[in-house]
This record gives sequence, structure tokens and C-alpha cells, in this order.
Amino acid sequence: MEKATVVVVGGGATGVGILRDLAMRGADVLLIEKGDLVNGASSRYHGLLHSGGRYAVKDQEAAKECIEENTILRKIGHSCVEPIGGMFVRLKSDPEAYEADWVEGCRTSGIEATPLTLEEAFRMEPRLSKNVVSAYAVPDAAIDGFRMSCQNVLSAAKYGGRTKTYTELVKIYQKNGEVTGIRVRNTLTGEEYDIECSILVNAAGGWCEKVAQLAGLNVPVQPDKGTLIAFNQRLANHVVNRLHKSSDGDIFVPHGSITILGTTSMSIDDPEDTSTHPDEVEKLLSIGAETFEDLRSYRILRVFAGSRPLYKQPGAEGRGASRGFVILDHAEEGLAGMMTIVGGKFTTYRLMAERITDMICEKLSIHEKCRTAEEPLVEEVSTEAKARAKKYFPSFGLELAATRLGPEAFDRVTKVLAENPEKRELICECENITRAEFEEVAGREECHIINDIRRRTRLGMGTCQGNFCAIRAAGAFYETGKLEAKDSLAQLKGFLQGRWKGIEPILMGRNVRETEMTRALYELSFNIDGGKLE
Amino acid sequence: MSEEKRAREETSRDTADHCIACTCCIANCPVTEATKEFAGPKLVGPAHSRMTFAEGDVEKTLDYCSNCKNCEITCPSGVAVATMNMLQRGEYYRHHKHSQRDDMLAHGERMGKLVRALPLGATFANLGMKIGQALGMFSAVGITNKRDMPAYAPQSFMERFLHIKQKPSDKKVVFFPGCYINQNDPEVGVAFVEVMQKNGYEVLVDEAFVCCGSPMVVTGYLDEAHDHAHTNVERILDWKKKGIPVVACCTSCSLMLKAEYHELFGEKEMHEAAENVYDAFEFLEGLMEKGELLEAFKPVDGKYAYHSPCHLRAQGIGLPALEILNKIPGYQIENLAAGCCGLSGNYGFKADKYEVSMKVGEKLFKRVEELAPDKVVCDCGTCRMQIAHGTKKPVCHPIQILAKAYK
Amino acid sequence: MKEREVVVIGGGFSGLMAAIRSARAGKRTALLQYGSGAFPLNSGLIDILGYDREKNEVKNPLEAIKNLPKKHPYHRIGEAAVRSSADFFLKLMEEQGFPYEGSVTAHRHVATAIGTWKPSSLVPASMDLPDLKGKRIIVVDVKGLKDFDGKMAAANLTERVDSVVESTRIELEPVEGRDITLLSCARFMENGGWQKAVEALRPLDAEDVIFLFPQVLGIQGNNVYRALSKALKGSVVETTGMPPSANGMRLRDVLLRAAWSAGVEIVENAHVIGAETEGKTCKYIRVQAGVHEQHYSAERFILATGGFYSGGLYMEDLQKPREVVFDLPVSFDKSHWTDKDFFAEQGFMLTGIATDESLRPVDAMGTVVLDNVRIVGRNLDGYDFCREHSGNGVALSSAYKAATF
Repeated sequence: MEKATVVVVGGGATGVGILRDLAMRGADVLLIEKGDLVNGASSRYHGLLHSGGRYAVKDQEAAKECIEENTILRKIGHSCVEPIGGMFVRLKSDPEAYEADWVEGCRTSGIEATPLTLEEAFRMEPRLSKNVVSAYAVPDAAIDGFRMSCQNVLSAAKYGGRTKTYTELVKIYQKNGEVTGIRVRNTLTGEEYDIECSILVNAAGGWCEKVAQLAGLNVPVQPDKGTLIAFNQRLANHVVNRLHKSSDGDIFVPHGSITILGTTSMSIDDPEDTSTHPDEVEKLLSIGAETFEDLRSYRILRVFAGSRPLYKQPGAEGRGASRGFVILDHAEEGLAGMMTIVGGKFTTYRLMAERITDMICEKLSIHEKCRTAEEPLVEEVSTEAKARAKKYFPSFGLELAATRLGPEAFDRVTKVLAENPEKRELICECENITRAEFEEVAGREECHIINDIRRRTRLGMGTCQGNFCAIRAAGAFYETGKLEAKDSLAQLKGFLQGRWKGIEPILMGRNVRETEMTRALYELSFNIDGGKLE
Repeated sequence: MSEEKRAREETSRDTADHCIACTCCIANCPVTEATKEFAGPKLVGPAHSRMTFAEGDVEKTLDYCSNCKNCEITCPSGVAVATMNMLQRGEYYRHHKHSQRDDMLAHGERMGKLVRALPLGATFANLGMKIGQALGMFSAVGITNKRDMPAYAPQSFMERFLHIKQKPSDKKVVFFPGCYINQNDPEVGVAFVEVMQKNGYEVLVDEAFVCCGSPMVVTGYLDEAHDHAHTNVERILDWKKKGIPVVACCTSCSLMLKAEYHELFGEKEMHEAAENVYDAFEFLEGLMEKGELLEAFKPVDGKYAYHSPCHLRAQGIGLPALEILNKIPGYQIENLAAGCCGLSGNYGFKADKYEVSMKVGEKLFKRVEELAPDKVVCDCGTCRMQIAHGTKKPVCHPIQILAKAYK
Repeated sequence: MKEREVVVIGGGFSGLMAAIRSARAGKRTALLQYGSGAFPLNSGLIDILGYDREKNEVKNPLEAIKNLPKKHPYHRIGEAAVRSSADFFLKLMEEQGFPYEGSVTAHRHVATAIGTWKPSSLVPASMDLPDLKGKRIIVVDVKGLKDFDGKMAAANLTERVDSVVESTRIELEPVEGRDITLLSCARFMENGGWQKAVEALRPLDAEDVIFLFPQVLGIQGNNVYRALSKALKGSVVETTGMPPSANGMRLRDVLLRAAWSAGVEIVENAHVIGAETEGKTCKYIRVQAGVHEQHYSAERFILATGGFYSGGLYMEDLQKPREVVFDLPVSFDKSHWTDKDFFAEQGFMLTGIATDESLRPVDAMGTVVLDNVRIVGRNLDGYDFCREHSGNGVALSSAYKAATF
């Protein structure tokens, strides 16, 4: 039977953070995730690395945590963070009194908020509404949630930390008030098997309540859905926040080639519910247009939603609920070895992991100190390696590939590109992904469907939303010889259907053009459902 | 915001957001067809415009775009692909040094002025170019020696104009000759004056006009072209105030004045000035529609073929020269409809682009061969040079046919 | 004002067909183009009707039209026009040296780039599949070719036919510079590259072989197809392909030539931005030609601006789709704009302009809005051309009808 001392349930930021921390301190740890990594809130958010400014008035403790972790993550996750800086802007319509409280809040929380003249603000963000009356620069940044999490897993693996994706927890075995093991199911094949463990960490985010129920415990979690819009271009150069009491549609985060506008806040029953509705989009757009007046003239790429796992405290819901986190040791309720961590925010995932790992290590009598704040997640690709590789990569594609791949994979890809010009083919022309990089990623054990490759490369996440790369990806995946890739038409349909999910609620403007084309290709020219010839 | 309103307010760079990657531009780009070195208009233009955040990179093959505008003509989404490429090229040369070759090719006007300042300058310059070509002096700087540099006319158009006696009239147009007609092919300008006189117009010229800037834009001297735009726009607006339209016989000049100025530099005055500028046959067709064109044509013999320049096709006015020439009794002219000629201003003069340029022109040359006309008619000076070079057929501007029909 | 007898707005398949027929009927015809139509996406196959509402393949497309919902444009176009338009098209293509095979009463089958079969009615010679009985199918892949994977296509075809479909990979042009798209490979083949293909396939060549090529058999007419067919003992067949589609470009090239020789005046980069109407008559349309506005009057205007893809229809904000030239009433069911299943019937695809039987636009009450305007192609409401495989069929027959005088 498979064994691990600690099993972490949930491949979100918190889970992978714990995995890494435990592995670095020498614990025998395995992480299981029922889907791909970060398919919950850790990738379904605006990708903002908070300076803490957003919490400076309401929750100074959170604000302090944010600014500290912000500084740490920039250091350890260099290739995941775009240090673009942020801005808080107050519009004419926003209450003036809040500004003074906010300035004071930043000061006491240790967040450097530099007042900007309006001239400076408009120079930095030319598209800003002329209704801006005051502006401050803060050390916000953009962070790639998926890459950050992947790199945690990679780093953990170096220390023996194991990960199983598409592996769902179905049963928790306990004996004499102690956790003894779990039963899991491979969600792709349906196969079930047992894993022996003595500590089970429930870091399942929105699914924490369900996991706890498997052990007969009650962990009330209120999933709170936030909807976000991704635009086709960078319409801002910095993170732009409204300087008012936190509300919907008041954060813009430029992210790689796109910009994300978020979010809404709505209590939902099922954390799986990532549906979005045109009304939410409309709401975001009308609020967003207060900050950027010509917002509606920019092409929306897609809309998506994720649910924040808010730990339910009586009377607090939605934006009133705590964004802080809690750690529950269920030994107090009679089940030793079972712990739950819930709540929190992406920016502070490392700190959360450190806290619970401290507690676990105490149980395991491990005395190693936490080093996750000092040791970089992955090494960076060296300037020399990039210079050597330059001529083989597409224009504007080198830096992106280097940050996505990390040093070892980057070297392998460079070698393939150098030796075989065929592999320089651009599978995804919107995000500059070569066939060599695609194959490098597609070959990894954790990639089962094209969407897994997409999350690791940004394939299909640009202008054409998979229209052109779908057929190439299905073909290239087929060529890997992987069993899962054999049913290429199902892979193709699954990928296109996934892209459609984010487009369907905002099927307007140029997206209708793009979509009519996608259908004309795959349904008409390629007759994707075409059956047997009689 | 309505699509129309948006179209007026957005810059050429903003139009990248309209790209849906449909591949129309790739399918219709003559350079993409001719060489595998060019990454293609979509990738170089709109696709890369999203990626500039990542690194301070330069598309290696940006240099291949000839600004022929076929991408913009065939784009169903209104993306200013070639314009984006020219802006990017201009940006590149803000930080990189130009070659001597580019300097020469972009500044034909300067050279022309120099030549005119010397006694017998044109003769010696032509001789010098022949010798230079024979000695490989051009190829040494990267200009092809496989084609002749355009020869200077003994007298420039502006010099000839001084001696043309016109019937004065209240109806006036200002002629914008452009560098090629002025220095190399003044007959076209003379024919224009004759045609306008026949139609009761007096032709004026404006000494203050400078090169439209087209050769500078395509070679990456964007700021200089911008200066030229300011000079010309100021003059055009002055004429506009007086109610006198500005007319050009060269379709690259007219496209520059009518469209490219404001597409490249986005200034309101440029748009206002553009409203006062017409291509010569566009203007004449306008007269025809109002019943004001003299249609008493004498027959013109011979078999002609017409080549429509890309920079005319980009203007969205159809082929007005064909419409009018077809009114000449017994006149035989067939539209070649064989795409870009390949020269694209100074593009085909570059040693490293000569082959591409000739490959682009292949279809056109073949079509001319098939039709075997006595003469090829075309509104654009550089197209005429390329056709003459590629087919050895005589060439002329349609205004010269019209002038003949009026004689 | 430019006075013409017929003005066709839109240079896609339906626009070109309407213009050719108008000019051949002796009408002074202008065709206004903005962009180059959907040709790079167009397979060039003329599907009349591939599938019924339940997505079952129909046996006889012309017969099956009878069972279509009442709102379907074929009912307005009429069987007769469908039949005669196909005859018109077949004859035109024959004349132009780019022959098509097939009829409107039966299906032929075409192989797609992903390895499925697709029913179609009128098929260019190069894509027409011979009888498969006793044949060995070999998918021909090309080294470095983008957008086509021979192994994947062969595997999928194997599951859709009663024999093993093989694949082979030949080397044509060197892999260097830009990626090799179908179109660039087709150009290579056109310029003599087909001989390399013949050499490479010689060892596999036999009477009973069907070589299934990606869509790379040249870009002008079917010269490459004929040359290959002559040089190889086996049959040569082409699949459908990704944009830029070589066959779409071939069709465009042929139709443009036919239009010119019929005397159609083609105005490129002419953005039609509106129309001036008086009562039920369109007096002229407004064209944005750079900074100058030009006006075209006509006895008949044929609107061939396409659907959402081509920009003839525009949905600004999920409230009300707009027809961009005449601001015609657009028939639209707000409650069924989209379906969560991407490949189900989509409401936005059914959205378009309602017409009477002469293809004149009508309002919600069925009253004609403009007497001298005809609607053709994807602009028409009431059909999801992707789901039912009817796009070029509706385009062709409506264009034919609209240009009947």
C-alpha cells in the first residue's frame, strides 16, 4: 500500500505551500488534488499580489501580513511576479473622508503609499478617468497564481514531496480516534486505492466542508463567488485600485498580455459553481468604466469565476466575512491527526502554510525551522542561457518561455529548438508557444488533457482563444503517444468547450466574430462529430 | 459607443484589438507569398503588439514589410496592420542607426535638389548613376545594381511649369507633383495641366510643398516624415481655407496625404487637411459625376493594359482612371488585376529585397506577357518603373492617355 | 453620386456570385468590398444541407429542405432557385477551368483535416472521394507542415471506415524561416514542388491506393491536382483545411476573374457606412473611401455583408444586434442567444434578417422595409449553417435569386 506520513488534500496555493514547507523540513508528504493544480480559487482570481492597501482601513493585521508576504514572494518567486507597482485612485464620487483613514492605515501597517500628482497619475495611466481626484502609488504587483503553485510543487519535489493530481479523496480511515489512512479515486480512470497516513491536512479551500464531512466533522465554509473579466490587451500599466471601501469591480490587474478586472462577491452553495452570468459582467463593466471610461471599447477575452473559501462565522457573509484564515486541529473534536486550514488570501498563502506546518512539525517532532521565506522556489534561467537561446526563440517569446519553464526545462527546450527547426513551429501564435515547449510540457506525467498543458504554457489564452491552436495541440499531443491523447477528437472538443465556457456569457462585440469562425471551422469544415462512412 | 464613433477616436495601434486572427492578411500579403523569411503581417503587426510588455524585443523580420497595404485592404476587421509595422519600424530606428543606403533611398528629394542646383546636373547625375552602377558603387552600400536608378529628367516639372502658359480661371486646383513626377517624369505633370485646362481649371503649384514622406516612412525615418507632414498639412489647410483642392497624380503621395498622415501620427489637422486632397482621377471622376467633365474625346489607338497600384486600391475609390479611359471611343484597355508590382517605393531598390520584389511582381509580368499590350498604363510612378523593368514594355500614366484624347 | 444598376455590398462568396450573375444579366454592377470575404476560412465546398435538426445526415439535400422549420431561408429561396443556382455554379466553374462535381439531390463525402468525413453536395474535383471499396487509404503528411497531423487524421479515419488508414510523411520544402502553413505549402506545390511529392510517394504508389493530402494542392485552379493525378497511379484527394484555406483562395481567384470578365466593377477597401432611404426605397449608400464619402445609387442593392464574422451584423452589448448598413430589423431571440454546449444549435447563429420570398427585408410584421434591397448569404435569419452544413448552399442560392431580374 502507498504510504505517506502527511497527506495534504487540495492543490491550491495553501496546499502546495504546505507541501513545500513540510518537504523542506524533511517530512514525508504527499499532496492529492481531485483536478489539476489550482483549479479552484488560486487561479480563479485577479492575480493581484496585494500591497495590503486594500485592507489598510478594515483589517490592519491582514494589511501587515500582505506587505510582508508581498516582499517575500517577490524575492522567492521572481519569475511569477510582475513587479509593475500599483496605484490607488479616488474618484470624485468616492467619499473624501475615507482617503485620510486609508493614508493613516497604510502608514501604521507599513505600506509605502506615495502621493502622486494628477499629472503623474495620468502619465502613468493615460486612460484613467478624468474624474480621478487623488492618486497614490503602492507596491502592488501582478502574480501568476498557477506558476507560483507549480513552482511550489517543483521545489517540494526536490525535497521528496510528492503530488498526485486528478486524485480525489473518497474516504478517511480512522481508528481509535486517529487518522490511519485514506481512500482515493483517480478521477480520469475511476480506479480507487488506499493510502496509509497518520496526518491528514484539509487544505481544500471551498471544498473544506466536504472533506471534513468525510471524517464526520463540521467545518462551515461559505463559498463566495467572485466573477472576473479578462481583456485582450494591457489597458493599464500598473495595478489600479479604487480608493474607497472595498467593493465590486474596483481592481484592474495587468497580467502578461491581458488585463483582469475584478471582482464581484456572491454567496453560493457549491464551490464547483464557476458559472458566470451576463448581468455580473454588465455590473463589472459599468463599475469598471468609472475608473477607465472607454472600458467598453476594449475587447473582452473571457469571463471567469472562482469562489473564495470564507470560514463561516455567524452573521458575516460576503465582503463582511473575514479574509483572514483559521487553522483547526480536529484532535480537539476527537480525531487526532486531522487538521483543517481555511480562508486567507493568495498573497499570504506562504505564511498560512508556515503556521500550520509549524503545528504539524511539532506533532512529528521535527525541529527544522521554516525556510520557505528565504529559499527561491526555482532557480532563474541565467542571462547566458537566454543569450545562447535567443536566436531559436520567436520574437517576444524568450523571456516568457524562460519564466514559464525554469532553468532545466528551458535548457532542454533550447536544445530541441537548436537541433530541430521543425520544433520552432508556433503552436500558439497569440502567446508565442513553440512546439518544443509544448512537447516538453505535454510529456510531463501530470498532463492528461490539453487544458493541463494550457495552464502550464498559456496555450489558447490569448486573442484567438484556442481557435487556431486547438487542432495543432490535439495533433501534437497525439504525437506524444500518451494514452489519454489517443482520443484526439474528445481532447479537441473538451478544449474548445472549455474555451467556450468563458466566452459564452460575454458573447458580444468581436467575440461573436471569433466564435462564428470557430464554429465554421470545427463544426463545419472539420465536422468534429462526423461519424462512420456508410 | 458606436463602432463608427469608436473608429474615429481610436489610434492605429488601438486597432490591434480588432484582430481575430482570421488570416486574411497572411493569405493576401505579397511579401509573405514571395519569401519565407517574413513572419507575415498578422504576427509582426497585431499579434506582437500584445507582447511588447514581455521584453524589449524587435521582430527580426519587420524589415520585410513593404507597406504595400494589401493587409489593410483585405482585413475584414479594420486592423491597421501595415501602419502598425511602420510605427514599429520608426520606433526601432529611434534607437538604431540607419544605413547609408537607407539614407539615400529615403531622401531622393534632397538628392534631386542638389542635382538641380548644378548646371547640367541631371545629365551628369544620370551618367554618374550609370557609372556608379557599373562600378558597383551602389551595391557597395546595399542598393541593387540589377535595376537602373530612376533617371533625372533634363528639366524638373517645377522648372517646366514656369513656362506653361495657362488660361486663367476662377476654378483652380493646386497640383502636388511629388518627387518622382517632379524629378523623373515631368511629362505626367504637364499632361495633368493640359487635362485640367481642357476642363476649365487653372493649375497652381506650391513651392512650399515638400516630399510627402512616403519613402521616409517605409525606411524608418518616422520623425522626419512627421516634420514633412506638418509642413504639407499646413499648406493644404491654407489652400482649404481658400477653397482650392490639392490634387496629386502619384497614388502613393495621395495615399500619404489623404490617409497615412493621420493614420500614422493621429493629429486632427491631418484629417482636416486630408479632406482637401484628391487623387487626380478621383477628382476627374467627381467632375464626370457632376456632368462637368469634358467628354469630347478623340479616339486613341493601340492596345493597353491597366495596372492598379496597391496604394490606389487602398484608397477605397475603385479604379477611377479605368472608368474615365473607358469613355474614350474605341479605346482598348484591360485591367491586369494581377496584384502588387513588388517595387513598393524604394523597397525593391534594396539589394537584399530585389529578389523578393521581382518575385512579387512575377504574376503581373506574366499577365502583361499574356495580354501583350502596346503599353501598360498605371497611376503610380514606381509601379511603372517596375513594370518597365520586369516586362520591357512602354509605360505611361493614365493622365497622359487622357491628354492625348483631348488633343 | 455614382450611378449603377446593381450594387452588391460585400465581396465574399455570395457577393461575388450575385455580382457575376447581375453583370451577366447585363446590369451595370459594382461590387463593394471591405476586407476579402471569408474565403481564407471557406472550405470551398458547396454544402446544400448536410444534417437535419436532430443532426442526422440527410440522404437527399433538396428533398430534406421540405422538412426544415418554417423560418429557414431555403423556404424563401425555393427549391427551384436552389436547383438552378447549382447548375449555374457548376457551369461557371466548368467554364473557368475549375470543375466541381456533384448534385443537390445526393451527398458526396469529403475527408477533413482532423480525420472525419463530411457530407457535401458540390465538391471541387480535388476533394472528391473515389469509391473506397478495395482501396488502401494513405494520409500524406508533410514535414514541418502546420495545422495538419497525418497520424492523428489517419487514426480518426480508421475508426470511421472499415479498414486501416495509414499515414506517411514526405519532405517537400526545407524547414526554415517562417512556419509552413497549408497555403505556403500549396504555393510551393504550385511552383513545381508537386514533382517532389510524386518522387516521394513513388514507392507507395499503386492503382489501389488513395493518397489523402492536406489542402496543399496548389493555389490556382486545379493544375497541381491534375498534374499529381496524372503522375501517380493512385488516386489523389485533398482534405479540408485550416485557414488560410488554399481551396477558399482558389475559389476566390476563380470568382474574381469571372467577375472581372463579366464586367463587374470591383471597389476594394470600400467601407459602406450607411444608406439614404426615402420611404421604401434606398436612394444611395454611403461609402467611406478614406476621408471622402462617396455615394452609390442603384436600382437594386444586394446586401452580402455576411453575419457576425464578416461584420454585417454586430452585437454591441447583448441587448440588440444591429445590421450595419441599412439598420434593418434583425430577427433575434434574446432568450436563446447562446447554448452552453458549444456544438448545439446556437441562437446567435439563427440571428439575421427576415425577408419575404424575393429576399427583401421585412419587419416583425412581415412588411417589406426596403423594396430595392435584397438580402443574401449569412445575413439571412433562421439557420445555423455550421450545425446543419448549409452555408455555401444558402449563399449560392440566395445570391442567384437576388440577382434574378
